[in-house]
Amino acid sequence: MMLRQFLTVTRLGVQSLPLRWGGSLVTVVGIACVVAVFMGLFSVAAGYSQLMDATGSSDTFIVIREGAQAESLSPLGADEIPHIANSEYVKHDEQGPLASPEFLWRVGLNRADTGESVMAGFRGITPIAYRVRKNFEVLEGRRVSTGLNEILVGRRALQQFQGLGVGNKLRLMGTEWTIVGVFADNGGMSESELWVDLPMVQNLLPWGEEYHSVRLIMNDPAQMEAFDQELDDNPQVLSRVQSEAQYYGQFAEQMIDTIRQFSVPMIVLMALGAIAAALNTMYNSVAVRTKEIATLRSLGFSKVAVALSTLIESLLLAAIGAIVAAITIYLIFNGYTAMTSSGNGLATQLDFAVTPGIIVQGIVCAMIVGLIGGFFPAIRASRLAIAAALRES
Amino acid sequence: MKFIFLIWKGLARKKVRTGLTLISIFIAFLMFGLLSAVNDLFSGRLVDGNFSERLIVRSAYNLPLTLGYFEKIKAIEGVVADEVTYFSNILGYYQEPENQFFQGAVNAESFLRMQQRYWKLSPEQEQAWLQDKTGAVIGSDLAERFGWKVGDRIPIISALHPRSDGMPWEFNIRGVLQPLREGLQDGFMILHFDYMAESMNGKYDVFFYGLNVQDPRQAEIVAQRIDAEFQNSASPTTTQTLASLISQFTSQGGNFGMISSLILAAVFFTMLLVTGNTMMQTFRERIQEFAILKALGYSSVMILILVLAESTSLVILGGLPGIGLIWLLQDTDALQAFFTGLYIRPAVILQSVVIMLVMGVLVGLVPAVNARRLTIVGALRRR
Repeated sequence: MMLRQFLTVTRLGVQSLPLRWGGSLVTVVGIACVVAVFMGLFSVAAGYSQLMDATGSSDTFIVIREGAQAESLSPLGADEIPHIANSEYVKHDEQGPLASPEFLWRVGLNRADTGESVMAGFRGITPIAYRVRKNFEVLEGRRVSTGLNEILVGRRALQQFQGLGVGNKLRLMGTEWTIVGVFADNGGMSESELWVDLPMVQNLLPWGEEYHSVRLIMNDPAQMEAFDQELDDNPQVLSRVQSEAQYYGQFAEQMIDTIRQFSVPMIVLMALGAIAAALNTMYNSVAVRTKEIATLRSLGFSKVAVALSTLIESLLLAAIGAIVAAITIYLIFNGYTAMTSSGNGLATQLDFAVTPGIIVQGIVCAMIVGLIGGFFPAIRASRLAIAAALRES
Repeated sequence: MKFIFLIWKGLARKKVRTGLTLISIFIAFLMFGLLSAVNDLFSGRLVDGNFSERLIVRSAYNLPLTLGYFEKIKAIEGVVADEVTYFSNILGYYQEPENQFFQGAVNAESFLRMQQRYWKLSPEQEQAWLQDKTGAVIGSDLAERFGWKVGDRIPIISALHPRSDGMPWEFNIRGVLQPLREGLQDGFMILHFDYMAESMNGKYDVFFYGLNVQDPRQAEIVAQRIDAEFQNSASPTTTQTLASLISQFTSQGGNFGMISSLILAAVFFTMLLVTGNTMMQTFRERIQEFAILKALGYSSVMILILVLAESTSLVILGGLPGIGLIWLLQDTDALQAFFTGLYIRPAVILQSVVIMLVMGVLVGLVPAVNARRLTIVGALRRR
């Protein structure tokens, strides 16, 4: 009985929705805008965290100077490297220890889209670098030769900067370089970098044989604590070890914190605005349907059925708004590439990710707005004075 | 007076509807103020106007620069010779890596002269700093951030430039720079370059040079002159204005301008619909009222103006408190925690007033034109 009543009132309300399209549209658009902003902002955070996951492996470890926030702020002397590489915790293959000393410098390149000059990662590597990255592959051309001014560019770098095609010559740091290949590395941040033979970049700088980090594979990843203790105990070594996942995870955390800190107040404010719009629409809806509701009530329809139908109408409008926003944002933003700064202050390509979790949260957000926006008008609808309403002209 | 009364009556007719519409407008302008201020932080616009005479000289290859450039830059035509200084950065932090801020090591006398239009240091503090080689001066924002006072001894940890004994650096706060203008950000610490170079056994380089030009309108030309001077040296330079440098750095981190424009577009679009819808509704309900006014002798143009005045008043009544609240609260801890250095430029207030007027007319336009066209007989006959 109750259910039938409720369905009838709701049907009547929904059928007359197009007659009140002006106000209904305002609610739908208001809610769609909140959901779109919510999903847009959080797709950036999700994209950042996916990028960091792709970059940092929990089986690869990175040694940088104790207290350094990032690789490029971590000077390692040449004398430290053997102490790290020759530890018994480091895995060996037939060619020696899997410990890759690297030097991360930066060069100014022009963005492919806007032409603006930005800082790109310029990583000095030795052939060991390829062996500690299990997902590394050359997509085009070849690796860099030792002793030559050659560059291997990342797949993302190729897209995001001007003039990096294989075979191109490039003037960087006062020297001419030839691009000899393109590499991929699991879609991670290093794909936004340019790789060169390590001594070639060291020679251009005044610090001699200096490094920034050592990437390595351990015999047993579970032994990281013990390895770290060994480094800490060795007075010749001023560095500490952490997993790549940990190292990159901290950048993702910082970035996500920043995004959240900015987004939450914005979304709450927008949601308040949308609630005001929804309340307006629903109060108006009740006002327009006063006679209809009063007639139904006099025919014996219950207060609850009338109230629920108003609430459902509001939730329906919210759902339409949320779905419109979700589809639009998914189509535009999922996989949208933008440029951001890595923890080292280097230009890095980022793919926005509209994940299922974000879509669900966006819809929940819309439903909350719809619920509050329909609640008070629903109470008013149920409390209509029947006689007075019917007498109204 | 009668006119204002009529507008007021129109708005007060449906209090709930007007109230809810005002909330939408209020929030839209609150967000406009916030996003504009955050956008200013990111785009370097806060610097504009200020520092137009300031050039920054960096290495074109990101190589360190040497002290040898100092005298050469001073001698370049258009540069104020007394207002050139070199900067280094020890890239350290206080206690925790999260507590990062700029620690510049400079030539103290020339630094103070270069900044004299923007920051003031009392003569006693200046003397105390000049005489203490481990002394530091800090910006007022930094002093506030950590509650530091003159006389405090502050440990700074730097991985990039560690002290030879492995201990943190320690600096005595000898002065707090007081900003002379509004909107300056000064969360920095300034140290003596000579002391740092000495402690690092000379392995300490210049990161960049800062200087003032004699005529800001000539800034680009002077920049080209400086770059030409070092073009064929071992380390060529890139010279640019401080504003263009800041916007270049921040645009790399993400296109915040675009993000905030999109959010604002969404907010204002919704607000426009909400307000427009309210105006349409109120118009429909009051058709007979307008007809009566016309019958009483109000001209069509008067009716048009009445409706437009009502819609504009609505937007201003909601918008002014919104932007006003943000303006009043900008220095509070809550907003400064949201974004440090947040500052609402007077121009932003002005912009928002212009937007209010435009939006007010825009949302009132359709009902206003309809009201003007009303025929008395037709409208009165309507039920």
